[in-house]
Amino acid sequence: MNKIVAVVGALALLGGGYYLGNANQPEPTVIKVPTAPKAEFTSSGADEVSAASGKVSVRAWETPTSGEVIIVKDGESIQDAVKAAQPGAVIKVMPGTYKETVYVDKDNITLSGVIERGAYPVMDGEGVRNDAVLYSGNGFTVENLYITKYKGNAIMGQAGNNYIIRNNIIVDTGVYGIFPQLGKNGIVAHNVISGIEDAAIYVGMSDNVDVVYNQVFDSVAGIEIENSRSALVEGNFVYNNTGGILAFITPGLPIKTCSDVIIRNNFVVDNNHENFAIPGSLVSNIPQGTGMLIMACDDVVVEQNIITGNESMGMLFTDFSLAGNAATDPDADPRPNRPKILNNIMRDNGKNPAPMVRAVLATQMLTRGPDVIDTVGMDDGCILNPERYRTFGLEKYGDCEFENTKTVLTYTLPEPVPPRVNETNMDKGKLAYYGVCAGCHAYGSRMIGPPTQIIQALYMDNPEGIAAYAAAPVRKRDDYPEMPPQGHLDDETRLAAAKFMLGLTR
Amino acid sequence: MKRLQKTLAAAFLTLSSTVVFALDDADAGKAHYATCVACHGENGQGNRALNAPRLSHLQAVYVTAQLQKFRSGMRGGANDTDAARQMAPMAVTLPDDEALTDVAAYIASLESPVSAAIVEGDVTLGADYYNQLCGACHGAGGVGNPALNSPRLAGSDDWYLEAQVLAFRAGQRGAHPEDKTGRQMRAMAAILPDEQAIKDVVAYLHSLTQQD
Repeated sequence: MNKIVAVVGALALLGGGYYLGNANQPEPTVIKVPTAPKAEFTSSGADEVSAASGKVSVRAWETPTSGEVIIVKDGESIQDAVKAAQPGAVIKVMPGTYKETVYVDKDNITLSGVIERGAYPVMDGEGVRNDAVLYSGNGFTVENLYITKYKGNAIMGQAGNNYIIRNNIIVDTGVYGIFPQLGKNGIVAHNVISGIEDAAIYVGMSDNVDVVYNQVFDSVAGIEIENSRSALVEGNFVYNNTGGILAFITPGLPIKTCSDVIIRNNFVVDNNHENFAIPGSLVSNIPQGTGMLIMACDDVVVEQNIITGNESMGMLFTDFSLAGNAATDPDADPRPNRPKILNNIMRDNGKNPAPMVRAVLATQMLTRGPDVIDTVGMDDGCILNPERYRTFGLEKYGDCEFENTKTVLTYTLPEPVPPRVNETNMDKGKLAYYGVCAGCHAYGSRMIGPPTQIIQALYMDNPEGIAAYAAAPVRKRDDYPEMPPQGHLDDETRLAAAKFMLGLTR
Repeated sequence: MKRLQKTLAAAFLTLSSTVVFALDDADAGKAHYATCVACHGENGQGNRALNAPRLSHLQAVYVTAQLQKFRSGMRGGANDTDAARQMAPMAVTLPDDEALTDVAAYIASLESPVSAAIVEGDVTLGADYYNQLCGACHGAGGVGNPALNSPRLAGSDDWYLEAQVLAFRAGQRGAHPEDKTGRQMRAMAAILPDEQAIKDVVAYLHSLTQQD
């Protein structure tokens, strides 16, 4: 009797094993020979660019100059030169050490370092100053500077359009390296950035930006395209960050969308740095070993990147749940849509997944991280040659209708755009909140500073209190970085921003 | 030389009188606390059956502030919860402001065990809500932040925290026009999406003290 049971049991196991073995067999690789050329790529961002250009023009514009040149020598102040400058001036900064914060609120200023036999003009924050260069003028170039040891930002744009940030060396400048906020039409090119505890390059709430040919390493997030539209991320060398290239929506920012991002021809390699973000901040959620992370951003094209050696996964598509279940925004779509994964080289990813990734994999009896993972299971995505990769959650992806994005040479516009302040429904307070405050304060979720909702509860009907605090903040919270003083904004602007902040409802 | 001796003697006298004064403080506080023992317990451990929360984990400055609110009518008024209305006349029995600070200092010096968990919630989700919405004022780990008038939450009874957030949401606490810090908390209490979220946060806060 026992024998019969054993035999039956063995047969059942065998059958089960046969079934499981077959069920796990991957789809056979289909050899396809194209019969007709694929369609051309189109995107809403590209249409705007081509309509405006009329001729081939790739990042060919410069900040307009008037002929005025101001030389700043070692021992002098760059800010003094900015004060003396008229719009259109070129400020040449000679090699030397400059211990200051420079704020540029004039239009069409070019701040240009002079490099002599390898010696740069060095901006040194000495671990005490918050920002090296802040700009809010319409039309701005900053180039050839070596910026180090600031606590907040190396270069931050505050609602300045038509900007060029290039050829700078940025080492350990705190929260952000290069951070154009609320800027339309900009170029971030040929910068070398390392040692940043949030994002080395953070394009925030912006449109028409090219981030090209930068070297970005040893930071928590390498390149971050956040709540922005029409961004080209191309030809960057991104390695040894916690997460390499990110495109996402931060819940609670006043501009609620992210779309039309092309990520192509980048090297996204060995992004396995320990996550050293401020605990509790949004980027502290990035799993160590993430090549690319797309959270809630729509129409992202990933094309011809070399994505290797990222120990959690090559590429992650996910929704707001990564940012924590408490971080929500009723006005933002928490899910990504229409991802387009063209041909890429993906090898050697997922060898040692971070614990949170391991937990997700364990639900599928997997231990190694995939090349591509979609935790949402989108049904409107496409991928070319899916059989080449180890993927997870891409069952509903179809074949892409196009093979490349060569119709989009750039997402920048050939002509300068008007200043933000000229936009309809834009007033001083709103502009300052969008361009400055929202860099660190989201409405209901924690970024660098406390959420706007908390500030509303604390100050209620007292905007004067906020304006006064912002001019000369004192540290009140151990687990948040000290707020940088905003005294460069005049009293009226700070009060207007405070009033706008208290009136915000989402 | 003589002058130096005099100075030293004066300094010593000042020092010793401070010490004596401090001892007086604690003794006076202990005497005043006799009124509180019946509900809050000998060691400030609280008594749920009487709706009396644990107090011994709180900072003295917060206890003083709340006693002042109870005495002035900012807490424990007609629209408040039954428990708060019971507390108001008790606070009035303290003779003066000095008695308030004395008893608060005595309460802060007490030691008592943390009460057992009663509220059930999702600790992970609660930690997330706390980090996003509460920690900016109450501090990482619920330790409180006097600079922002925010009391310590770790070590509180979970049932009491839940009841207070509900009272804030219902306008039973923090609705008095002069209660500035209460109004601040009332605005934040309204932000948690639902009553389960309150339980989650409370469960998280209680989990912080389980090792104690």
